[in-house]
Amino acid sequence: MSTRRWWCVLVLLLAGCAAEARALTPAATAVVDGSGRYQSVLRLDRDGRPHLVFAAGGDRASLRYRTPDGATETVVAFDERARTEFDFAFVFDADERPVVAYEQTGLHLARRTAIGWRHELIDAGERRGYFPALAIAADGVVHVSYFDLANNDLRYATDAGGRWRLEIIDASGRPGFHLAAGFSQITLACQVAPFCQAGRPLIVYLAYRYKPYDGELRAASQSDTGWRIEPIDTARGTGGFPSLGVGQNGVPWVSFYRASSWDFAYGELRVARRTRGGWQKETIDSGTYVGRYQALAMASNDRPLILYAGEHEAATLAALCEGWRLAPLAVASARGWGALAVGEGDTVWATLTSPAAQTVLLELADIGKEEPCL
Amino acid sequence: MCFTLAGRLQTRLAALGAALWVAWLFALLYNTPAYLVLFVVMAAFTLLLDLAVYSWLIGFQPRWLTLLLALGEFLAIKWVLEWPYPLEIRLRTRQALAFYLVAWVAGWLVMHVLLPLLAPRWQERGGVLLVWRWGPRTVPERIETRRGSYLRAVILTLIIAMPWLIGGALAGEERLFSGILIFSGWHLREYGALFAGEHGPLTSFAGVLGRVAATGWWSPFTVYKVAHLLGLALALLGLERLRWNSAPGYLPLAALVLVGLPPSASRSVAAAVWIAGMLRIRVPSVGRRRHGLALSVALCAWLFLWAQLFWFAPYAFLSQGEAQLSFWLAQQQTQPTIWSAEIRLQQIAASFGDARPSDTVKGASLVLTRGEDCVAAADAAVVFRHGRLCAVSEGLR
Repeated sequence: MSTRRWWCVLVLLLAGCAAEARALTPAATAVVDGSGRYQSVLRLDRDGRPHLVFAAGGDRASLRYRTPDGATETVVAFDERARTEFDFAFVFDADERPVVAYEQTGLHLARRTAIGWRHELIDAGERRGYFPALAIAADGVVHVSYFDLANNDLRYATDAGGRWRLEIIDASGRPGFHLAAGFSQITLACQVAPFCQAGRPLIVYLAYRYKPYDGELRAASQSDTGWRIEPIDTARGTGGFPSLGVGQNGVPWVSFYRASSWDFAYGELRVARRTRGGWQKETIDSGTYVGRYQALAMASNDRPLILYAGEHEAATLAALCEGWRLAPLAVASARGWGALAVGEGDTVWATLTSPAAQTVLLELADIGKEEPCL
Repeated sequence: MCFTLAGRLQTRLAALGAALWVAWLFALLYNTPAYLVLFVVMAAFTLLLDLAVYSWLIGFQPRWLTLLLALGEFLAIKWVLEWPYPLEIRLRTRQALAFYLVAWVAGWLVMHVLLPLLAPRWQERGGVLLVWRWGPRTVPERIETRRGSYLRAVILTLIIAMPWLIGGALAGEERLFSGILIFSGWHLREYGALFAGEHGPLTSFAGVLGRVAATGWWSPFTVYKVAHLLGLALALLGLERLRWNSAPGYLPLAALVLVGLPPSASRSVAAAVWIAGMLRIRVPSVGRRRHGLALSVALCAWLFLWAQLFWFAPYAFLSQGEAQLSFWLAQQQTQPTIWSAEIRLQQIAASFGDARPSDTVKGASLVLTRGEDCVAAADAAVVFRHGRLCAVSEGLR
């Protein structure tokens, strides 16, 4: 081989090494007293400390709340011993008190008070309250989106005016068989005229006619007269487990999974953002089950971060810089649900499912400062 | 080779015979009966393509075109394969592709090895294996004539359907386009049968369409519009075929009469036209003046459709709330009786929501309200709310 060719090989090798992202090592990890088979929801308080609501399965099926110092308490204990599905959402109210919406033969809301958790029933309908999402306005008004599994409808409840008012947003689903599929996501921060308005709910959800991956990812925004419903992604097999975040500029970002029909195990991690021109979509990564479990959070400068299970279940973080940069996390494989939250100074907190099916809380300190583009 | 229609169908059936054996083999080998279902889909789809597309467009069929058609057929079958439950076929796309490849190769061997041995004059006879004849002996139309007819039918379908296509595009995210531009009452009755879904009357075409939509979990609106468009296209193809007998130029324009009709009526007209074409009925030609008159009438009718779309048709567009109310009503286990002070709302809910309209408030189980009445309604009595549109239960008021 000539010298020139050797130089070419060397340059290619160096370019390859440079392109390979360095694995991110968590600053701290903690195993949470819960089952990683189920979803967990992570929120940061004003001081950037992580609060977690997670599900504990088995004989003591319950939703549990974990404070930043590691203490846990039961939000609600379920009677059903064989409960395998937990549907809940968690946010802070204006006074930074935890509020949890959950399904237990209907939709319920639990608020943490000085004397314990106070529960109220929002919608008593049979098979309602699945996949809830929760947002609380600065004036304390609660907005909840959730599914009616009997009819495959998207519903919405708000306590504006001091009493619960229920609405049906999308009734185009067909009653019948279903598989637990995805979640609705809600925000009050979207501001992209004329599509959405700050202070009014924007709901992103997987609408399916009959079963998941048989529908499309949609967005519903509240207007003066009702709801404006528009498709985000209509590709076959799209819209699984959407995760929603809104930047300081009011632009909403959604990450979601798209299952391939070629091979059920093959999938794509997709992301969409709403601009004045409509929804802009792109595929970030693809492979075996890539993106099936993912979570999106907005970092400073309106930059989205996505935590997802990549190829071979490798926990991966994707960040948008001048294009998407992907970096593996130096942790054991991610086999299930994950959650992501970004605090002040772009400190990233995440939960992952360990190979032993436990929920693991990770602190990825100052990613924004140290690794602005991973 | 150059296939005749009979030759194309017979050759296809022979090739499908081989594919059937392959399907049995796959089903036994992998213990998956879904391969037999896939075979049925493949047979139905390819025979339909032979009848409605290939025989109109393809004269001489070179081998490269056979390969291209096979690829197109596979993509179409793949699309069908991905239909949802309960029509879903539980095979992954790669499994379907493996079966299709083997079945196609088996069919190809039948065509190029077995058939020439069994019927040496098979190719010379345009693919015909068994010669039978009914009716008067006919000379096949030249391929150029068939292609021209097909192209005209497609272009005319698109032109005539333009008010509907534009209507669909104009609907945006806050409205839904129903497609009702004229004969509103007739269409609304048809929609009533369509939205009855699994309980649709089998005696009406719209009822059958509703059952098809319910089985495939498709939107009844989409099924109705597709049936409408297909009815129009088939009628136009039939009229083109009728023109082969006597060639009066005004005939395709007559299709404009069909466009406003519901699918049940346009389907009947299409069937009548096709039968007339097959029986070689001659349609009298008219002079240039009358031809011009027919064209003017057609143009006026077309412009009238546009006017209806933009200004006059009361049920052309449904608001998001009206559409959601209809979907919700159609989901109810028992057929609700509805009343509304707003006639339009009551009519929409009755037709698109499979509900029974009531003449009085007292006779209704649900009262439909809009605007301030909805906002002021007691929450406990509201069983449906979407923005400022409500269904209030009379029993809970």
